[in-house]
Amino acid sequence: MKSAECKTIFIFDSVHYVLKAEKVLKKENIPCELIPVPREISSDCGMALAIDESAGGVAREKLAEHHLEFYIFRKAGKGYFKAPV
Amino acid sequence: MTPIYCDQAATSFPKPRAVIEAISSFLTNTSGSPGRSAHGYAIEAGRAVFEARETVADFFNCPSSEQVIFTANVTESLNLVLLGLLQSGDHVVTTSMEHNSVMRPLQYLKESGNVDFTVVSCDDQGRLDPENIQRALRPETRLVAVNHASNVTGTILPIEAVGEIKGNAFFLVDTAQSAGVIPIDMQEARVDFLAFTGHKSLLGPTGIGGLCLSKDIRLNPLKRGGTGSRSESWAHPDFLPDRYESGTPNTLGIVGLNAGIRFIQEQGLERIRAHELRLIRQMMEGLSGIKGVKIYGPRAADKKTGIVSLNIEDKSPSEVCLILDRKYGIMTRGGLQCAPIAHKTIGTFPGGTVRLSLGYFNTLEEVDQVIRAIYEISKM
Repeated sequence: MKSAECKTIFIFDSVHYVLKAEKVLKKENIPCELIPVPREISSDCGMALAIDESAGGVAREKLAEHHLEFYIFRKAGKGYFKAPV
Repeated sequence: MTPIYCDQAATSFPKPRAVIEAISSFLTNTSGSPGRSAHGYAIEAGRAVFEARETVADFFNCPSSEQVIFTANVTESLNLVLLGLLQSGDHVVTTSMEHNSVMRPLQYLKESGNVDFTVVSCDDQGRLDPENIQRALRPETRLVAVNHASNVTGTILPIEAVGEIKGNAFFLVDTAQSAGVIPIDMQEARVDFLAFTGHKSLLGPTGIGGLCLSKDIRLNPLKRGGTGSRSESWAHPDFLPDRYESGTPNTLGIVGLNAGIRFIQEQGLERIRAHELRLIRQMMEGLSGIKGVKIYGPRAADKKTGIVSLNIEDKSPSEVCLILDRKYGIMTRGGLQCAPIAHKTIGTFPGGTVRLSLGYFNTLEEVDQVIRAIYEISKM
């Protein structure tokens, strides 16, 4: 897996919410992958969801419908920038 | 002599094959640390814990799976609520059929924390009139705490009716004896704190229990520590479920609990209850005919769980339990069963009772053997 390239990274408060989000997105047939949180984003010992940029908008909608809170990061050069939710 | 296990109220035996296999498989194949590392085994462990939360939330109709908190047992769940919620000046209403896991924390809070409590009397069959709860409410009543079914008599208490009259107080229900026996819908019954244990009628292993919250209620956590989230901060997380869980969870227990509840859902709670009712009816009919045997609790099987408490004239409960075990291989619990106030209510304090408790894996043949044994002992 190319890790975070061409992907939007969704970060959650804890692994519980990552897995809940994964369940929601899988049900909606939105492909997503569990990855370790990129070190450039956080030193947290946690996981994040990497989603194709093209599916980012739908993913945001579906997660919001299920009252899930998240942060979004996009790749910029070697690092990441926080995108508005 | 084939052993006959009649102590299901203490812990259930045997466990379903699916529970044993789930735990064994997890231990053999993917036993990682959930929510900490991000490798395959840890992810599998994290998924297992998440799935169990979803199973529990579905089973009790808890609004959301992050409102399912895992603990070591129902005693810890009850302590989390009682010690975490109540403050100086608060008042609690509870019943005279409660287990020590409610009464001891309340007594401690009364002696050290200026928390008052009222014990509402149940009748000599352990039955509760909800109007008595209502009469005991005060403006400062913060919590109503009721056990759903007595671990001494099996009497089922009317939690739905209590939920309707409790007013602004929070509602704590101890489901140690009822979860996996009778249906519980925490939203319908207006339960704020549903405390459960995994190793009784939920058919899971020991060491796992939990608390379902009706919403994000602030309790002072029992412990703080590593959660695998916000690790850069020394401030303990404020969000659920991490706020009330720290340290590595009992992942094996959680996996077993999930398998136990899934087993119950596959079998169907009605089917399980129907079987237990057959057992109890037969037991009650058989024992009622024996001279010198006194049975406690409701007569009607559908008013109780699979528990029958009894005494044999001129014999102490411990004596009877010893003979049942050594001569007949029938395993029961004698004495006060950690609920002295329930025994005061039914008139068996301080001696206690012989408690037979049956479950889904007991059979009608075993019931007949128990009846025969009790009869022979009564003649000794």
